[in-house]
Amino acid sequence: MVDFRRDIPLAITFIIGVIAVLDYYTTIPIFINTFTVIKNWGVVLQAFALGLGAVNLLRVHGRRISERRDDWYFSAVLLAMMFIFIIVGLITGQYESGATYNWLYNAIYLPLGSTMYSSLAFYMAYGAYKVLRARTFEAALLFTTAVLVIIGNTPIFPAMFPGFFHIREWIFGPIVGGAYRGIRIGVGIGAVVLGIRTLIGLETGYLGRR
Amino acid sequence: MVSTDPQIWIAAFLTLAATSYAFRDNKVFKFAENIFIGVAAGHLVVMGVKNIRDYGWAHLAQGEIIYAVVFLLGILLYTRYHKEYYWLYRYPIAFLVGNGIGISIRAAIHSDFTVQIAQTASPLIASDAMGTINNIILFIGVVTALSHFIFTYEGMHQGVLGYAPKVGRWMILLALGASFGNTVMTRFGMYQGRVVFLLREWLQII
Repeated sequence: MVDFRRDIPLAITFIIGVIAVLDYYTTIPIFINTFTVIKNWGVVLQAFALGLGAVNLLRVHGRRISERRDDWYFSAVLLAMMFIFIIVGLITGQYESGATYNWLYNAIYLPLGSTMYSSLAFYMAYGAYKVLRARTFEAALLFTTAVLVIIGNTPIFPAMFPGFFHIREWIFGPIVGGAYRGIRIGVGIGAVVLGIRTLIGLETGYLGRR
Repeated sequence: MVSTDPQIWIAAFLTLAATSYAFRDNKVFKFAENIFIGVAAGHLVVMGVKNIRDYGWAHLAQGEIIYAVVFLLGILLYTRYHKEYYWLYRYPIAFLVGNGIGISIRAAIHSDFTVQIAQTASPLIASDAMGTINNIILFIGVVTALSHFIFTYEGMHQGVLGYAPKVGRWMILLALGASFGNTVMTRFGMYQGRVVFLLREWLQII
């Protein structure tokens, strides 16, 4: 007896995953053509999933506003900005290339995005100050390369002593290159094993727990 | 002379508001934070609708009826809010997971496995002594870092063999330290860009 709640999704995952792999490793037209459609469907479904995220935001922040919880007006600002972008983007039919949308994007999204991302440097530096102490040999290794790379990346130090720049370059050559290559091979093996386990139905976490 | 462009003023205010968290959590930062989340969500929805139009609706409009299925699957995603038929959202999720895994398996085998091994399997002897030393260090780094992740054979981390994973851990720590330093400096470089914006575009003093 087929369990429509579990067996069909597992079968869908298996079939789609196998077609994606066969598209890469074979030249059989049916797999190549089918995977072209699957790729397009994937993009469309991801877009629908983004809508799901917007609906979730609406539910969570809508509830905060209706219950007048602490700082509820920030939720109102959040939803207002979301709707402004959606309306401006969709009403003109020009999406992100419309003049008004571009104006809003450059005035709000761009500065906030880059500032939020870059200002994490302050917390990282503060965290490093609190944590990066050469108490053990292994901590000293971490600390040493971190400091040498920071010095090598700061223009004033290589300007005074060009060797700092070369040390930084050397660290990123054999040291980082070798270690990350080993990590990547390990990660690659792990990704393939996890992928195969999911395709054959041994990993079912994505189906949810209900 | 300070800029008179309202776009620059809004961008400058939001830049300062987002930075204000460096001192302490405050209402101005929360205001900027919520604006950012709302704007990011709105932007993603707009891009999503555009993708639905370009990759789904355009094909359906050209008579490719099979594309009606993906719209049905997309709608099924929203059944997760239904108490009885919530399980239908598993169909589109299963599709996305299958697609993602298929692509990641082939990418992992190629770029994380084949390419990395091929690049490591090059001659150790270079044209100069430093190149040879670097090649040897790189080779030792690859082998020892990889051995650090071998847990299926217990003996790998004991006795004489245990030196390899230990050296691998040192190599990984050196690499992580370098990555940390690089990330910090990259972020500071980006923040420098924001400061330059404030001084050049907004205040126009440089």
